[in-house]
Amino acid sequence: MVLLLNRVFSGMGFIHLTFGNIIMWMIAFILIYLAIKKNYEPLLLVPISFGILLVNLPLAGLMEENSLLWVFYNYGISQWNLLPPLIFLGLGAMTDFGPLIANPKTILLGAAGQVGVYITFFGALLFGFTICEAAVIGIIGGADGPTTVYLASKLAPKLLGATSVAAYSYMAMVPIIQPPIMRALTTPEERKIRMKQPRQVSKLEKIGFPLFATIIICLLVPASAPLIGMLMLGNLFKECGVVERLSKTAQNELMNTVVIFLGVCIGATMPAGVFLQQQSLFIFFLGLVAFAFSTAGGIMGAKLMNLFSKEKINPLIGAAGVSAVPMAARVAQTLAREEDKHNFILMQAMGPNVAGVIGTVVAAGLFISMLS
Amino acid sequence: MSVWGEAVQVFLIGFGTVLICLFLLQISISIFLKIVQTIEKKEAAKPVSKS
Repeated sequence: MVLLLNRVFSGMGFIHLTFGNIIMWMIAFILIYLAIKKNYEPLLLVPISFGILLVNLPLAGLMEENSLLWVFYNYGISQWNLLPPLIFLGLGAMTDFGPLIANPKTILLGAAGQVGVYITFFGALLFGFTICEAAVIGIIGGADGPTTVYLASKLAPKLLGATSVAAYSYMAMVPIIQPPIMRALTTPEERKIRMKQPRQVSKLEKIGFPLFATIIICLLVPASAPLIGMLMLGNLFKECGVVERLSKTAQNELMNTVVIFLGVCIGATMPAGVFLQQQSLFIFFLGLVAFAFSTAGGIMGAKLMNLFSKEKINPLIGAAGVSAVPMAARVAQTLAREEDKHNFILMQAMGPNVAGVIGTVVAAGLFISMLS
Repeated sequence: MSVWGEAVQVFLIGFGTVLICLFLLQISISIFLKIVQTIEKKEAAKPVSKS
């Protein structure tokens, strides 16, 4: 009887609970609070935080080989790396490349928005991270969650949890992080610059874009093919108009399913022993630096373009080059309207915004081809 | 080679290629769009068949 009771009690999680587990629960609760109460990326933070909770339940062993979360993680991210490209399929089906097609030069702002990736790459090396880890931390500055997950799983799987949570958290905090930088780097006159409304883009242009962009980008950076290929396939579903069912599935059912698995997998990579280390704090700090420099890079890129072009562009749209679609473009619009109530730059800001996604994928593809 | 040497190489090649890649993408898309617009103009100029 005593032996049996002893066995039951020693098999309970309470006895094996560590201080680290409790701190991770707190982090999970904070993320759940931010998601539910503050509406910060709820679609991702809810599954991520629940994944954190699950993986920090002692003796549950959900990340042990062949257990539930291990299977999700192993096949979804680690071994097959299936989930990030599927997210890109859904993103492509939801993205309108019209503003970018209407004004192709805004693609360059998507490149300028990657400055933070490379500055932080050096910053991370200074903090003692390896070169592969530094690349993964730098890519947080691209403000693109699935790309961060994809790169982390290829180059530094140990950092997947911290870098992904940092990327998604900062993406949700774009309206807080970006405006002070944008105000500091632009004058009120620059923020008042009005831009011509983008021209109407024809259906043929919209159909041709994903095909043409796939060929060009994948020829230049083949390592970016899984993400760019899926992004453009999703976009072709949306634009061609003959596969509405596939487009809707990619945007809704498939996307939602993949988001659940991706979120839980990311959370599952954060057991206390891995996450509660000094380097996680460094990652969060460096992620913020990356974000700030990417925002600054986009704005300075726009200012540089103004030196050479007759038609001036509002430098605020450069800040949208960090991806974080469509939040960054909305922030640019909000700041422009603060100076001039009748200034509408949202559509123009969407150009660099979607170009930022392409820029981040290209940067990640280059890191993979150089470092893996 | 030292870590910093490798890092500088990754930076120069990486960021340089991102810039070149997106620049090439911009130019090629502009050319592609010009071609599409020309085709569309020609299509629009064609007389509409009565049948």
